[in-house]
Amino acid sequence: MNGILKDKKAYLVFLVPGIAFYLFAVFYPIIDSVRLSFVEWGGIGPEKFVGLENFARMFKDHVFYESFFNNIIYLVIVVAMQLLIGLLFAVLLTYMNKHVSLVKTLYYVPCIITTVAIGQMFRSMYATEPMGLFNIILDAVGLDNLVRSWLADINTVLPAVSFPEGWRFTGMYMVIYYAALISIDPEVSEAAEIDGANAWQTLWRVKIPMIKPVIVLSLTMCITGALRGFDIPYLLTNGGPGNSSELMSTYMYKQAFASNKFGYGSAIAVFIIVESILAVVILRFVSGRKKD
Amino acid sequence: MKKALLFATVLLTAVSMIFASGSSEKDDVTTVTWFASRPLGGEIDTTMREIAAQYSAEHDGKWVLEVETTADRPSYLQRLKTLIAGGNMPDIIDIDADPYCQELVDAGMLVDVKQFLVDNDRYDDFQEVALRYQEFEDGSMYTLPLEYHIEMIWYNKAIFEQYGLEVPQTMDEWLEVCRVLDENGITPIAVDGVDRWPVLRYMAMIPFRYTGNQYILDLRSGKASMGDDLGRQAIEFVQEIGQYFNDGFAATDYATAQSMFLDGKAAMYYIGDWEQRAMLEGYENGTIDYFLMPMTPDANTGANEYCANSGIGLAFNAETFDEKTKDFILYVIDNYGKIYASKQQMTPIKTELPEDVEFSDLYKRIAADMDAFGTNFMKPWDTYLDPSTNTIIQDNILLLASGDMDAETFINLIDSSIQDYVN
Amino acid sequence: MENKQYAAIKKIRKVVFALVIITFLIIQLYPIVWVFMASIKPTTELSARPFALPEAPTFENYRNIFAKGDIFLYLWNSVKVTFFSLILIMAFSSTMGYALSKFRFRINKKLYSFLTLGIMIPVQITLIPLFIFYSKMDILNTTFSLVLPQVGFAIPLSVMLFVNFYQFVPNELIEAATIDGCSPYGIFFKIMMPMAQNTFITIASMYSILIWNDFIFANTFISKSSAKTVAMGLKDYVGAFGNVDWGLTFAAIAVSILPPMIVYFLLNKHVTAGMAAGATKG
Repeated sequence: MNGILKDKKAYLVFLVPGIAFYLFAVFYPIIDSVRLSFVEWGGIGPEKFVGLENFARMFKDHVFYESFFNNIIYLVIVVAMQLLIGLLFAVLLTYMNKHVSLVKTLYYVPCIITTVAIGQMFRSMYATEPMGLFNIILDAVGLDNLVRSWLADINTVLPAVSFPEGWRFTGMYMVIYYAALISIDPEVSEAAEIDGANAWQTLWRVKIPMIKPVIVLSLTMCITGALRGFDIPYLLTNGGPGNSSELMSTYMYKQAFASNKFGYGSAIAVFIIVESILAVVILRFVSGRKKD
Repeated sequence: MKKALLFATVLLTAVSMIFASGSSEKDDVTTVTWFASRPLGGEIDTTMREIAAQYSAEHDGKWVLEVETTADRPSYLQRLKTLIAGGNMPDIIDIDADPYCQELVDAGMLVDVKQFLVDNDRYDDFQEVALRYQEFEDGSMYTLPLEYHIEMIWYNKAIFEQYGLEVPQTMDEWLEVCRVLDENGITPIAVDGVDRWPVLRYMAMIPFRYTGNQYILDLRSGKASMGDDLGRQAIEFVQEIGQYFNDGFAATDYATAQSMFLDGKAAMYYIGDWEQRAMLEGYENGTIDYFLMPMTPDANTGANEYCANSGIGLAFNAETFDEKTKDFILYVIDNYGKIYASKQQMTPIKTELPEDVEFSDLYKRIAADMDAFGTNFMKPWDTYLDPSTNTIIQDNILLLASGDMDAETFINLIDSSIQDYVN
Repeated sequence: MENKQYAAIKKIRKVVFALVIITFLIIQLYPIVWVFMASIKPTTELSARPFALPEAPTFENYRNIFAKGDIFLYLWNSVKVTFFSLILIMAFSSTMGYALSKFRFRINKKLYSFLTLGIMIPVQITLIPLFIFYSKMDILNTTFSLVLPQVGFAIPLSVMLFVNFYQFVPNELIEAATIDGCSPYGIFFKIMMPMAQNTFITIASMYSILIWNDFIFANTFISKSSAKTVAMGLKDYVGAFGNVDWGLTFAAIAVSILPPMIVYFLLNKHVTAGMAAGATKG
């Protein structure tokens, strides 16, 4: 942020159209949501101002807590998959000599497929009637006691809806990490090896710290992405059975559009916004402090 | 600078093009919008389009019905609610006679359809049950049916014969049949849990047998509790029969449940006559048959009384319901029955069956069952309950049926949600 | 002896390595294959044996959706939305990024944080407010009603990528250009834009796929069938009481993922190059 140009008029010409668009598409709805979170409104007739009642109700709502904790587990699974598997394969790719670009291209493919298709495919995979692919594989490797209908079992449904979301964007993060890894000056790792570090040490002590900014950036992306995670759980189970795979955003959507409680739904939306901002602030704080 | 110009031009063109929606209407053409939730290309959809085209032709194209269809019901309802919340209710909408619809009525937004039918002498043109299904508790009616269905339990005759099973007459016999099948490693009932409503039907059965729809009416208005004797019996029945649903039914969708039954992987399947085309082949070659909802020993509703529905109804925007629309609706009522029936559908409007169409035995049998129908009919609970309780009961009934939730928790959830709504 | 052993170990390692890469490749590619297989099965077979090879492959599903013809209109609508959104996203974010990184104003830092806030906003919250606004302005069912939120929500991340990239354009270069008499506009069009080519392509390829697949905005803001996008069109095959014709749906899915696939495979080289430039230089 330390540019040198000082032409105020040009500055405004470049900045204002985009800012206007952004304010209108993103900020106006936020303000309006905040406003709606203080009213009771079923979609018909006048809104009724109720002060903080929606928030009071939210903090007494056990489904809200359930969806909050579900969301945390969902976040951990999704982030772990995208970060760890993405990073693992990015590192593996750096050791490949041939076909790197082809493999990289193909790894990215799941990002392109619409959620409707992914949802239906995983629903079939998790099923027992007819036997889904997961269960067929478990059965084939002798883990037949694990065979179950993953989406119908309240103990497994949450990881089961988290997995597809983690999986589909793993390729994207891998591409990002790979790009970061190969942009490291080869001399740096060569120097480390001359100093007697083995490949493993070079990776952990030199390469990973060097791409930390990228990791923090992508972590921001996948944490906020997971906190607002919606479409796969919505399509696969719609939060069920019961509320065992309910996430904050599916619950918000349900409250607003299925139960007609636009005010209460907006209160949950406000919570999601605050929570996401908090998460990012914490992340920045933690990653910033380690630097020193 | 050339580049800058190019850049600006592209930007301007882009902005101006996206604002142009390109709808230029001629002034003398009346366009009526029907915001619909019927399967695209299905019989209702095609019948209505045929009638609209015919009507339009008779009026020199000065009249056009614009159909905006969202077949997927949850998306449809979401869009309908946002449209109405935004103050943009279409001229004609599809809606169930549920509490949300009642709110629209209370706000004076819908046309009194019963009055309209009586005034224009069309009330008796309809099957009585089809109209009564559309009524609110107080007997008023704001939605017009375009379909008429009864629901039944389809069963696999070969499996029943193999284990020497008889068609159950009572609920207890039904459970017994399930038990025998289950012991022999056969999946007794294929259930679509993804759509929720099929599971909810089972909860309505016992209370209906004892009180008709009175129990659910009392329940939704807070006069009865889910924990009452009758409520507990309903819960118990769901828990018992839930053991006999296919494994993982909570995540089984409509198409999968149906194909399980059609493939002989499950012995029974609860669905309405709208699936008669899927059942026809099996029915004709003798592998599939159906029975109607079983009885209880001291039931207050008859064996010829069970779940019937006339589907989602048409409702009319009170603000835009003018003479032209009225004329069209009367035209629909006068022509719909025949065209719809000729597509092998059960029609809510009485009509002579067209003679140039050959109706299947299955069709005739269902028609006979419809003719023999009593006066009470089991109305699905989802049309009675308020939106919030509906969401809660639909979410949690899956847990109840799979044995993952105990009766007390369920009772508390439902009762407190209804209390919330009543207050 | 030892050399031989070492060679053997090396070879085993190589094989294991290849196996791991290939296994993961199969996991990532399987869905495409599955979607295609599903699309050439009749619906009844699809729900009974979803993972078996098609018994009697049929193109009936494709014939049906093409016969109805609506899908072409949906594709065209999606093309329009995606195209206009991309143009606006790239125009706005490249200029904003330029303003934020190459101009010296105190407010820049605050503005930038304010923009990055947008990354964390759940898009669902916009549905009600925007809908009410659109219906007042009578612009529901227009391309614009979809473009606006798409662009708004894409701006934060795209601006971030541009800022990251521009920071590596040395200020001396701009100083030199200014001395040569180049205006801030000239600098943008003659220096910054050409250099940022890869960033443009990265953003275009990323967002074209996201926008193309969007369901939630289209589902809320579009109700006319003539304005439906292709992702919405996938819901056209829902029958009575929730009975979905999955055979037709998957044929439509196969058709609908073709354009993003083509875009992706054509631009793929630039995508990764752009990502290297965009993401790593943060």
